Amino acid sequence: MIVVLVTVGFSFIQDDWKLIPNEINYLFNIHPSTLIISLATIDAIDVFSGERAKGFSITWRAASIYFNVLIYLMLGPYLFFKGFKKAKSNQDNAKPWYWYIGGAICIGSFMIIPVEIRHLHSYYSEVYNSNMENVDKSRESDLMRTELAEVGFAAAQHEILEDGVNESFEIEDLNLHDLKYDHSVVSIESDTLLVISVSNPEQPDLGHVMEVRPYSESVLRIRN
Amino acid sequence: MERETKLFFGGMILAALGFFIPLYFGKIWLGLFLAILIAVIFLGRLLSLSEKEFESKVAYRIVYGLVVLVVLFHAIAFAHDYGRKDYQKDLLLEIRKTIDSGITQADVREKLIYVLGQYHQNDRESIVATFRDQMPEHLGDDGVYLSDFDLRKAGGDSSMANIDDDHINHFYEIDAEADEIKVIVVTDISLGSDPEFENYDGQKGRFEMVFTLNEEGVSYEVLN
Repeated sequence: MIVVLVTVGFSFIQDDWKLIPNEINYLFNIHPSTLIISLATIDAIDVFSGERAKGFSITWRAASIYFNVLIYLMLGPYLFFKGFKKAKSNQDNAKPWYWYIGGAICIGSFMIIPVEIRHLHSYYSEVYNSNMENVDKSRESDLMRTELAEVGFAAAQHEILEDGVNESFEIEDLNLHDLKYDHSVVSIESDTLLVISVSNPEQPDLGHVMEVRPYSESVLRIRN
Repeated sequence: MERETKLFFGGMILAALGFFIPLYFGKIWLGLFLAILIAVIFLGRLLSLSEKEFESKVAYRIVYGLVVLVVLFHAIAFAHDYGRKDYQKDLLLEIRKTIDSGITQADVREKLIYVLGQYHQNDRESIVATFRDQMPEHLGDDGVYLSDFDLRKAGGDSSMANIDDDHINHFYEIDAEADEIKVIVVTDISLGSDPEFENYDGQKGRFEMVFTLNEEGVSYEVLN
């Protein structure tokens, strides 16, 4: 019975059945810390877009977290135990109504087990790791582009101050220190157009090419 | 009143105090921790009260085991989510800082390089005079540097209609004697490394960088 009800309840949560309004639904959230994470995410988006973070305050959503703990860890076991005691004192062992409510809530409280297992499974799954790899790759690509721009600006300034560059120009001539990636001159098309690139031996599939036009209002232009 | 009823109401009030007092001060994680802790103590006490009601030791041990399992999974869920509580905020602020820094480099540094190019290419006598001739629209009143965003916004650019502010503040200082221009950039959102840093515009702890243009070239420094 418990197995069947927990499975149905789990499906109810995971498939997001919308039988009751959200405001009431919050009361039956078996995993209250996820609500805090979602409130913090809304704040983070506000901060990102320049709005003032609201922070945590006493709202219905925040208060529902208390009711989650109260219902699943206190009210349910209390009603179930009280009903159990009452039934024992009855001669026919009949269960009072609150035994059923307490029992239903207790079964609901067991859903933290499959919900958290699924939560942890998705967190450590290959899909999640693959997403994180893509995030890291994208971040690496941004860093490469940023460093290439740094080299591009230095090259533009070098061209201006040295009155152009000759065919033997190399990135090392810029005397830039602490470069993390490999930069090279792709071509010197004229004294007003230089093409440079960045690559990373550890991630050969990442790379960018940039045009440098020191006398143009648009000094740098990324080709890819 | 039965002991379990007293225990329930006592636990309910204590959990409410433990949750809502920290929540009032914005400490929702502490509130949830205290509420769960009080609920666990309540469950332990309820279990000890119920021991004599069970007819068999095995049934009691099964119930005891189930309660431990539920508490354990609540603890895992709390610890797991608490460990990720700042992940979204940190990630979004890092992205915001990269964007702010990138926009500033493209906006300010590119213009200063262009002015440097014009100064050398046309054998001008003064960097400051070259800047005033080439980019007069950027030099606002009271040392406020008008960025491309500010100029496009003021010019009624329709693509800016839904953006009130880019939350990047620009200022300039001209040292005519040294023939040098400084452009100072302070962001409203991105945080610098020192939270106590006094920013140029009176803010505290924000990301700040300064670009310097003189006849030797363009340099920049991240001040915070």
